[in-house]
Amino acid sequence: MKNSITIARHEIQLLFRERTFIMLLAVFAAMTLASAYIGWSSQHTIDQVYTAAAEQMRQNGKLASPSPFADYPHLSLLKNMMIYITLIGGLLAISTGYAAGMRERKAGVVKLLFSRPVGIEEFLLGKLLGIAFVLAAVMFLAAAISLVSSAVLVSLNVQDIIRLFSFYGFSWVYLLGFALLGFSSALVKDDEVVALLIPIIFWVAITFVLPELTSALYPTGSLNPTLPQTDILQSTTLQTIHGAVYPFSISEHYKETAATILDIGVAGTNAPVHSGILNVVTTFCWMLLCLAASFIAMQSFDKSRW
Amino acid sequence: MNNSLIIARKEFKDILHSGIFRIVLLLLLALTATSVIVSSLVFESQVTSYQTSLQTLKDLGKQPNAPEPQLFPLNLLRGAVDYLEIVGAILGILLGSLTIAREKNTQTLKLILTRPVSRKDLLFGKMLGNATFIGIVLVFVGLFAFLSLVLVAGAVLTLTEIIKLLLVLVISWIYIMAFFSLAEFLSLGMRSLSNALIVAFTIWLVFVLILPQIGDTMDPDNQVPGGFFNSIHFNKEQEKQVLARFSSYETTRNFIEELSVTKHYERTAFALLGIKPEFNGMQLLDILGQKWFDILVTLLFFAVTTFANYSILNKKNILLWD
Repeated sequence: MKNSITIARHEIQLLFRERTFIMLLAVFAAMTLASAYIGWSSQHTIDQVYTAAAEQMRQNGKLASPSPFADYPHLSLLKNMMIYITLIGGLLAISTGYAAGMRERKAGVVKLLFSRPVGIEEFLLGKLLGIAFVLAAVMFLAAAISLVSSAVLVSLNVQDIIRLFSFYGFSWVYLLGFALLGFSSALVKDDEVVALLIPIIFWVAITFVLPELTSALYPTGSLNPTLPQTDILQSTTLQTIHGAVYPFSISEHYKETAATILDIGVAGTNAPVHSGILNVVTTFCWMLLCLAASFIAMQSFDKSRW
Repeated sequence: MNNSLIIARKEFKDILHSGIFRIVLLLLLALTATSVIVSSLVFESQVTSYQTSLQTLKDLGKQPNAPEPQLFPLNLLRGAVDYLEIVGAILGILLGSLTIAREKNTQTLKLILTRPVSRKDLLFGKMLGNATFIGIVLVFVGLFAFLSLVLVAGAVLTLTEIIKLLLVLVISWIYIMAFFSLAEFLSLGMRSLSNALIVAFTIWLVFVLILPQIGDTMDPDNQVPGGFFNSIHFNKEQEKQVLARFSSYETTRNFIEELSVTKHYERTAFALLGIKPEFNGMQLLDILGQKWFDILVTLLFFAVTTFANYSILNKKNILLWD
């Protein structure tokens, strides 16, 4: 256990010193800061657009329907964060896990490390602790930025703050899966480019391909927190594809749960969706599956080779 | 020139021997087929929905005022363009990174340059080999898209539509080559290959996903599923009148979108494929005339990254890492 903690501490120190990690973290932090303003600005403008449209309708003798934008929940300002977590957060997590898996190999110290009294389980535990802590720190930083930026723009109550931190806590579980995938790939693949490509292909599939199959969303359509309207219920074939693929569409389960936590609705596709608990369970299963992949990758890791 | 051709042939062979590119090629083909199948099913669903509503209206003794959904076959390729935007750029980045990785890992760059091979030969040889490979991938994607449209959607393409499809492939080739040059430049300029790859992916993330996403989510019409103006039964003219009062907001939104080369590529491809309804039925030259700026920006991005590549390769200290 002591060795594991030493490895974890070492991992954390080195990750925060890595320039590429810092660069991705800076992009993520900047977008976290911007997301509250983007949310506030578009919400503020759409309210004015509705008022202008309603006035035009009244001038034409028509009755304007009630504003669909009235009574926005406070945290709807952060709806873009669900997307930034799946995009930037996903890539940040992959690069974190990849760097952790590749570090000893690239430094050529694998043989040296395992010549000391360090077991494979201790090494793995140390790495996992390091990755988990770094991602938790990133999520905490994002939560703090979101809290401050949202509080400047709207008044938040205690419930909002709890929701905000729960959202980032849940996002940590989702991202940990990608980090573990990057870690496993770095342990088992010889070619460092291929090792990075494999988790990225998984990320593309989870973020773009599966939502297209389950909800008939165009790949870039799923980047908008307000989903475009696609009614798949009219097509039995689309319904069948939805039924078969939806349980594996991790990013959709994540976004649906995140929207529930933030108390903002995600509507549009009219496709049947899982209940809240099932979404949470699926996301945890994704993370545990990736954890199992890390154990398998560690078992097949050739200590004498690197 | 002969040296460039030899290097190009060697590049091409190396790419074909690399298993990962078979994966990326198969991935792109599978994604093209998936998007055509899903789009066809969505169109069928729209027709069924229209016919159900029509029957209901007839049963009520009313006349329908909405036109029947009309199939424009090239519209079904929207998802395929989205994937070329995302996965095509990834392919370009990987090729650009790997072409330098091969030289760095085997420490052969110095050796090549001790032979009567100029740096220009080296750059053009590498570009030619990779451009040929990307061209072949795109020909496969185009053929696959054509066959999917014919076999899945039962569409018959006119000669003009085939030319439009070919033009989309040409602009896609330029777009992917720009990312190739970017990754090659970063791999030459940075000591660590994986760091260069992550920096390239970060730039890709910003240009391909973040900037277009910000512009898209700021669009007032995108705040309601199915469109805000559609929900209050406003036509395009009424929408324009309302948005004219928010011109500075719209200008800012458009500016953010236009910072992304991907958006310029997308606008050109969407116009050629008629995904924006106003371009359906428009003459090809008129479409190109309207989209000249977007085409120019895509070309400029390619030119700038290629020039950056050439400049960095000409620096003497570039061989230090060898």
